[in-house]
Amino acid sequence: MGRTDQVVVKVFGREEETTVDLLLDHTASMGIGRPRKAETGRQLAAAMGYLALHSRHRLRLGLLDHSAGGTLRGPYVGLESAPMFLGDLERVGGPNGSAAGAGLKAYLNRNRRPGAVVVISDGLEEGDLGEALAHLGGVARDSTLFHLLSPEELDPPQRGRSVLEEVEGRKILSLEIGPSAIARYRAELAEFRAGWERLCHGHGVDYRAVCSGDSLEGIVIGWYQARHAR
Amino acid sequence: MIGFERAGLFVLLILVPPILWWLHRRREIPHHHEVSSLLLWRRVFDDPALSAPRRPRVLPLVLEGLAAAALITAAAGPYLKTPGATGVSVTVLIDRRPGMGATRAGGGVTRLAVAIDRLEAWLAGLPPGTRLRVLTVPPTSGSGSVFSRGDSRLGTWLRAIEPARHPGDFQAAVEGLTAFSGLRMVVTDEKAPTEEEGPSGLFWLSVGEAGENAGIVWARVLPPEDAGPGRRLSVGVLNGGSRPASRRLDIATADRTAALARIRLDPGRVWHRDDLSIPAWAAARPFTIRLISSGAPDQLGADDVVSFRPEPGREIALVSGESVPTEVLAALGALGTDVVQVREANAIGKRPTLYWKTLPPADAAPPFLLVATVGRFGGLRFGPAYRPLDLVPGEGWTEVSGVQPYPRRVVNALEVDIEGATSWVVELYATTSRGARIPLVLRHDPDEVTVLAFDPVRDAPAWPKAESFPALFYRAFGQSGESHSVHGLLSAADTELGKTRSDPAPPPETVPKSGEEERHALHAWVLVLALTALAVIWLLEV
Repeated sequence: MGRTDQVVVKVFGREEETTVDLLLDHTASMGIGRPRKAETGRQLAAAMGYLALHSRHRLRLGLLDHSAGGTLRGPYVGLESAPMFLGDLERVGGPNGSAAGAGLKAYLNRNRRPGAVVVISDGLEEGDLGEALAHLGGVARDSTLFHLLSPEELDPPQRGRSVLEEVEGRKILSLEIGPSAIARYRAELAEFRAGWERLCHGHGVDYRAVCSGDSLEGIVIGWYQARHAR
Repeated sequence: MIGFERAGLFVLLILVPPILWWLHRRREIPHHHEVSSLLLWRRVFDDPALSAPRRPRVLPLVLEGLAAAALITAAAGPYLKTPGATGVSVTVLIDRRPGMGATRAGGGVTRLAVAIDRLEAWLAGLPPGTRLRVLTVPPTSGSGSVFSRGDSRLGTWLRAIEPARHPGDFQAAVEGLTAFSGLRMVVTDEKAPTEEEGPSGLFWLSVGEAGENAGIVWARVLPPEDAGPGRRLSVGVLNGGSRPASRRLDIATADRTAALARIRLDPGRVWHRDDLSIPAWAAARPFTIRLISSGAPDQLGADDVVSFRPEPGREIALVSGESVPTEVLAALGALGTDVVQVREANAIGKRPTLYWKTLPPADAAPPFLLVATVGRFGGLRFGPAYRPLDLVPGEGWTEVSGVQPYPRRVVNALEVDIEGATSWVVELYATTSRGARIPLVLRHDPDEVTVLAFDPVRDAPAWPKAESFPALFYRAFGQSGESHSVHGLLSAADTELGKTRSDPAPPPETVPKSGEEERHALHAWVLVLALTALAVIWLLEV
């Protein structure tokens, strides 16, 4: 029982003073997919933020890209601040940044002892992001990575002679995609996800593999059930 | 040999090369895609196996072309034509009705036995592997059995077939033959039907000789002025066999039948009645009179049928079951003549043989006879009494012969002037195309002309006498009051005869001995080829 007569469920820990930081990958790669990963990420952030506010936690919103510099919006406290939170979330522009790992490092530089942290990212970059996430797991009280990929990334539709252009950096790769290449891609994707899962579990980060085509309800309930089961 | 059911589809092959070229070009043009990251793709194409140089694209292109050609070929319906390797499939219907028990007047083998002999001789010429199904009407034990050529049981079974004592539905059995595939043959003493009368595609093996044992030898509807109320028939029946005959004479329209008379005849006797009443329900409609076997084995052969067609204002005696002479008689009847055709009773496949006309003798004009018949005349004898006179052609008569405008079927036409004789006899010694001799005797009495025609007797002496062989009696009554030219009569006959069937059913010897050509569909195999090519293409892509 908290200070009021209402029963409040604490999803991010028992302490009301727990700060919940929602960190949304704002790199250009999040703008790909049908549905777009950025949209799903925003909806997921809205859901998680609402849960945090309902739990009377302090909520902050941050964007992960090299230009955000680790700055956070909020704090938002209480459900009465939900409109403000959702409004700020809505005003987040289209993802056009790069280097989510650098953004996470900047956040960690500013927040050396974070409370509960929820990272929503596609993880499609090497190096910095993995290091930062490992660091996050070591310092945050509670951390979760929603590893968000699009249906096209899970099952590429490209076939035959193709020219692939990366939305971040505009690098190009010309290749011929056939059944064997697709099979190889799927194997690499499985290893890619497994690698992130290993890293997260190895550093105390809760790992959730989700798809932008999944239902929001399924993502949130699945996350909650997994937490409750622990 | 390969054939195609829809060879026209091969024109689609023209479209194959441009389509394949378009597909090839489309495949070669790379497609541009924006992706979130090349991270994973780089790892994929770090695989040396996937980084290997592209294999040449010629083979898939060739296979695609092959698959397209195969699909079009399959759609064209290919088939392989092979001769009926398993031999002929033959279905034979054997008539074993009582009439097939008829023998020649002097005794001897039955028609059925003759038919079986001829059938066996024909079957011996069929290729090995021939399958023979034998049916009989009326059915007998084993009817419908299937034999292979050379099966000894076939001959035993055939020779054991006996004429039935009761009639069967011959017509239904003939029509039922059309349900069988392959060669179908009817063995009977009935003449082959015209194309209009019977089912097509059947071969007829006919037995029985012309003039055997007679039956109805004349039939005539009497002119109205000769009869009282109603119409009457004059019918003559001859028993030319050596056994007594008992038959019923029926009159029938399309939907009704009644008995006219019961006829019992000793051998060689003629039964005739001039007062058979035509029922009112038949008087104004086409009708037939039929001499029906009672089932007792006599020698009159098949049931005789004579058809009548009423002609307003004129009487036409139709003494024939043949449609051709019917038309001819109708044409000649339109000229007002009394026309009698020598009816070879129970004749099988024979052509009309005789037309004649007499002109009434005017006070000065002598009568003449026109005799037109198939076959060539071997001689002529003429005299007031029935005894040979040594006359040669050209004396006392004029031969009218030729090709046009005379009936094509008539080889000889004689215009015989009979000078001043109140009674005369003309004997014509004719030979049919098959060499059989047909003596014709025409005897003229003041009030009537009697035409006698004799059976062709192969072993007859050079000049048979009338008493030595069976005779068919034809009697004509009355004379017309008009005269007609020979040419006019023959032209009319020619027009009608031109409508006849040109040839009888081909003899068994002309029946093709090979089986029906068989077709083996090949499209399934071609489809397999196409699918195999496509599968190979897919494997090459993989």
